[in-house]
Amino acid sequence: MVENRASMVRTVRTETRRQEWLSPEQRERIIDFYVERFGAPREIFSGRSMYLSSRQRVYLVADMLAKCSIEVVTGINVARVAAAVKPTTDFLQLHSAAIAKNVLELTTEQARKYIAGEELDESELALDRYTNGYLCLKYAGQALGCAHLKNGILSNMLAKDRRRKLEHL
Amino acid sequence: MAKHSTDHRPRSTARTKGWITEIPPAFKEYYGPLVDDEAAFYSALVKPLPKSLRVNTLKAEREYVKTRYTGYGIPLVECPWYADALIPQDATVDPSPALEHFLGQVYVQELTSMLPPLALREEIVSANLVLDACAAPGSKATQVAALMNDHGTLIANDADYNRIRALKHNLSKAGAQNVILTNVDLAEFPTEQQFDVILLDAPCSSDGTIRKMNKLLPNWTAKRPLKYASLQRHLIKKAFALLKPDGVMLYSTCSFSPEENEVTVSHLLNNSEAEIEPIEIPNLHLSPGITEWNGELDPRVARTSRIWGHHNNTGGFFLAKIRKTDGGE
Repeated sequence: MVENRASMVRTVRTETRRQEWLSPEQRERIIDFYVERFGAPREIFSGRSMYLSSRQRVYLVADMLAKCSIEVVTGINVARVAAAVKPTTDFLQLHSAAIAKNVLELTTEQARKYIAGEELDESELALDRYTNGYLCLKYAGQALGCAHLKNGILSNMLAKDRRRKLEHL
Repeated sequence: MAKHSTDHRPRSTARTKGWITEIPPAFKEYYGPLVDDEAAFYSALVKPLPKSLRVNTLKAEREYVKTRYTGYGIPLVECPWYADALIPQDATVDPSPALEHFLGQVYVQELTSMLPPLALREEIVSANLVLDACAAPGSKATQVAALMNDHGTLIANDADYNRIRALKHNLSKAGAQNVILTNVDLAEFPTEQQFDVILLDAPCSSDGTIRKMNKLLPNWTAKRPLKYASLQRHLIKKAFALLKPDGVMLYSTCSFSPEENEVTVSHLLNNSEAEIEPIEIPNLHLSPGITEWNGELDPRVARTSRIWGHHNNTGGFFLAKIRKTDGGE
């Protein structure tokens, strides 16, 4: 059934660049990152394939789409890959409930500052509980995005185009 | 759990400065004979459109969203014809600067824009392959993806490359994982590709959006719809060719103009094995399509649906549910 559905969309072509499907090893690298750093269960990746898009962005899509010779598929931006794996806002938000490790819960004002793209005051946060690396920032139990911790300095990693001055939270 | 702040009072977006309330005589001459109540139609047309949002059921539940907004001092009421559409009790309040919008749990969307997926809800839920032919920026595509609930495949296409980025962003933010994005002129779409369901929300003169884009009103001319009618005829013909036998298509515009609506559909009916199916959405006042415009149109266009702003306190819209009968080409 999955193959049939995939074949139905085989003929569609676009003029934009072809995505590159990740090998099992590349895929495991990203899954391992989420499992080890954030305690995410491996099951949230089952039935999903990943492809590399522009600017080292990796997208997550339903498995059956990987069987198509479609040149552009979309899906959830799951990570950016370079020397290290960087988590994404969309993925953390979608699987908020599954993120169990390296979670930093924010107050209302801290959440407002984070979403506006401002840096948080490290002295107000008990950061010595965490090892260097990415943290998932949550507010009211909902993942907002991530920040990067290095030697006590926390950097806001929320993408510029996602930053907002929220009035209600 | 962090305490929810209500320090920031809801911001009203009611616009009064520069808001145009004069209806051009040419507009009245063109549309006056078509409406049941001219005074009510013109009166509604110059009132700002109520704000509305749709719960993204891929990420949140309706009651949760209502509770959160109530906490902000923005109580939401359910739209009488679509429970996942919510309207601020004070419909001038902008619901977008809220956490739930940032999280992709809600999509700020006009009520009439929610109608095409809603009119095809049963077909979309059971479809293997759906095409949203003019998908950017993604309000309907994200709604279709939510209705599909990660089953089947949605192809979201838009011919305008500059709008693809917004489409991709919105689909990712919405949590849609069953979507293929294509950037193809519909005319170039391969016809061997056949779909169970197609949404064709065609480019149009957009005079149904005057309540949102009030500046369209003084610049309105009767010639403007004609600019789009030719393109729409090509698009509807091509979209129909992409339907599987017994497949169903929803043709829609946000225009009041018969040239862009019933005339376009009538042209398809006269040149293909298409049938119009009536649309029924409980609690929504739908008006039948008109059957005369510069002569007789195919009488089946009476089964298409018009949404006049004064009937439902919305923008203007047109819907035609078109089925390809077996053997139709």
